[in-house]
Amino acid sequence: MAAVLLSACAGTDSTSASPGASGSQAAGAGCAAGATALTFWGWSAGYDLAVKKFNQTHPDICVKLENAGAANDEYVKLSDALKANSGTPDVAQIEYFEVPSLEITNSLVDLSQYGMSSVKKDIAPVAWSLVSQGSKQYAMPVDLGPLALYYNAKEFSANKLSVPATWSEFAATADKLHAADPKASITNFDPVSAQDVLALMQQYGAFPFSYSGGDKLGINFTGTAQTAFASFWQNLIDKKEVTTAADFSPAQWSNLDSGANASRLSPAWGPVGMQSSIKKTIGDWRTAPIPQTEAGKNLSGNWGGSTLTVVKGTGHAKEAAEFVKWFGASADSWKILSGKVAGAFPGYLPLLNSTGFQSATLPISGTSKPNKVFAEAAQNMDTAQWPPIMTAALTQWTSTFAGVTKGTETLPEAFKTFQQQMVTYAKAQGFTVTEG
Amino acid sequence: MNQTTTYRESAPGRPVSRPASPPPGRPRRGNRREWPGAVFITPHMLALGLFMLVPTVYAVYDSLQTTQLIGGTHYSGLANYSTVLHSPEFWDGVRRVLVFTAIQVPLTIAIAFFFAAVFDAGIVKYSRFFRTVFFMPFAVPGVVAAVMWSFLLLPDFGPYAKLMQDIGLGHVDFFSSRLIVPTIVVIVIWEWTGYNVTILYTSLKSIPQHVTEAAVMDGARLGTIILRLKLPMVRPTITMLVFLNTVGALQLFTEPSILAAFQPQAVSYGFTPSLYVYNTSVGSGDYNLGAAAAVVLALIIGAISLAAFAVRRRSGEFR
Repeated sequence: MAAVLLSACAGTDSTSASPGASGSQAAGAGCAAGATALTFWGWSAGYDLAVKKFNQTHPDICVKLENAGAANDEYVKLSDALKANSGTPDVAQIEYFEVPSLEITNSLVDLSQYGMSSVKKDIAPVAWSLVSQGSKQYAMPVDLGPLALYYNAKEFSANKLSVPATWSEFAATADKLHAADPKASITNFDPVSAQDVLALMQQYGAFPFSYSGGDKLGINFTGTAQTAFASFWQNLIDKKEVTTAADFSPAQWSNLDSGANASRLSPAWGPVGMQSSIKKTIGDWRTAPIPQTEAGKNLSGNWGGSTLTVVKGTGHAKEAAEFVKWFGASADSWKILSGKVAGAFPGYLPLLNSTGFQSATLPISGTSKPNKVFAEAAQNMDTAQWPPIMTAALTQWTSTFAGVTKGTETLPEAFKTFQQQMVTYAKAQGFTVTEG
Repeated sequence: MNQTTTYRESAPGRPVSRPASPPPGRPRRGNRREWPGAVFITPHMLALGLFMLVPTVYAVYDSLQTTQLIGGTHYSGLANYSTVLHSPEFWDGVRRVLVFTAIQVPLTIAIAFFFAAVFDAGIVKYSRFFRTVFFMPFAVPGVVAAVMWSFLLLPDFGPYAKLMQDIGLGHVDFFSSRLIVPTIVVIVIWEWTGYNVTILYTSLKSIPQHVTEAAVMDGARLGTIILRLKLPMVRPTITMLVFLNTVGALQLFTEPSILAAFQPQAVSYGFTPSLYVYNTSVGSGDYNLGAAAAVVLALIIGAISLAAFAVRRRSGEFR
């Protein structure tokens, strides 16, 4: 019924649009009468400010932001609404890894037909390719989370450590630090945090999935690169040279603040949150490129970041496309999104490459300029081929990898188990699975 | 725990279960006099139908289908049931809640009876105040309680972990695989004891005063009165509480799912059967398999309930 109503006003004549509930929402959001109403599901801080700005500058469109929960909570609601064919929003915030899951269920509007190519030059190429499938574009990239090494410079110099450029130097640095101070570990590695581990695997050239649409899916947690990655970290865990606290737990923050962790493999959005969670070491943190598998390489990985998608069933795809284009690729929007409240790390090149952005400082890292390193990293990421089964993967991951934290199994063992679980699940879902 | 509905529907004094029709031997009342009764139960029956029966039928229907990302939905008979019955994760959870129930239910009721008897005997001052205090945890929603306890028990940071260290028990991790079930037992006892106290207290109060007086006249001591006289007299209430607490405990969900947000490695995918249902349905998008697991869980709890009814009937409760 709702779908019929929506498609009835697909003519996009702004005077006849938005009957019923949408009309009252539009009025509630303080928009001009007759504006096309769009519902937007999003959760990130500061999105409300950007929406407000859009509504002010686009009187014909009225976006109403609803918080349908963060990340997986929202995806569950969205997939339920899509199944019920009612109550779907026009626009939804979706993280990069979840976009293929919605593509395969045919739930997203192809944006390429709405003149997005004009902003392609403004978006980091990796972000653009994460949301594209051939000539089709399923989402508008917003922010990114390139990884870098965020280290405690005081602790490094006190222990006469130099910043490692490769992973083998990183392991040697870990040895040296632990020998100098048995209570100190080089960093934290949370085996239970799937997104963290997958970002590091991506950077290591060991991303376990390959997928380019359709029903063929590659799953490989047991290949040479993956096993090397798993052994590398297990070795450090065994020697107690890395801790395994849960990401973002009080334990992790306390380890970073007490010197128990001398560095953090941090996404670009990490320092802002860390700054409010530590006290003693404010000002001591510096940024360096993440260590490489081989000297001379400069590959980073992406952890997190969101896109905006236009959801199938909307009666206002054109207006929705205009909104998401503005949101991800306009100076107006990014002025707000990169501000103090939102603190998002841009995939928007004019900002990413600007001197102002790259020379910004944060109290946590004194006079240093972390954005310069992160911006560089953002240009040096491969496109992760996220599989369309990430919801299930994230759910099963926690149980399977918990043993690594507890010390009852090793990371290579967990990878083997997870390989089997994912292959079984993907096959049951009807995919043709390639292993290895 | 998922007990909220079960418990709150059965307010104190109102027996949860009655035979559907008046037992034979009693004269039937005329139909004309029954319509006000019908009006009174209609809202309940409507809610029961809409929120219980319809979803149940839908779940059974759903459990007989399989939906694939590639290939869509098709009828698959009992395939999902076979998957559930062969899932070690599911049975692991069933075993865990059985152990949990066997510890939590008797403990809760024993503690509750102790305090109810103490209040009833009138040997403490301000018993009304304490009864209210005891009942308070029940007024705290399970989610809030679980969040609160998660912070309190946090390894290294929570006050209880510190306390353990200070009294020389060393580093205690309440979320380790060995302690996670006892930890949840403590939380659930905290939440539900006050409720059980209230019911038992009401039941004890309904024992006629002259019975107690007669016992006092005969020279019975307080302990004897409580254990030999009052305890047997409130036995039907205790049986009912055992039954309600058990059904609730078997559906254990809220506490572990909240703890999982704090300590992901402490609570596995199929930690309890309800969590298994949730994680397969919502977590992995496999609603069909989740529905099958839910039906199996309902059958297990149904069987336990039937056995409990049989016991209660044999003990002559439904006269």
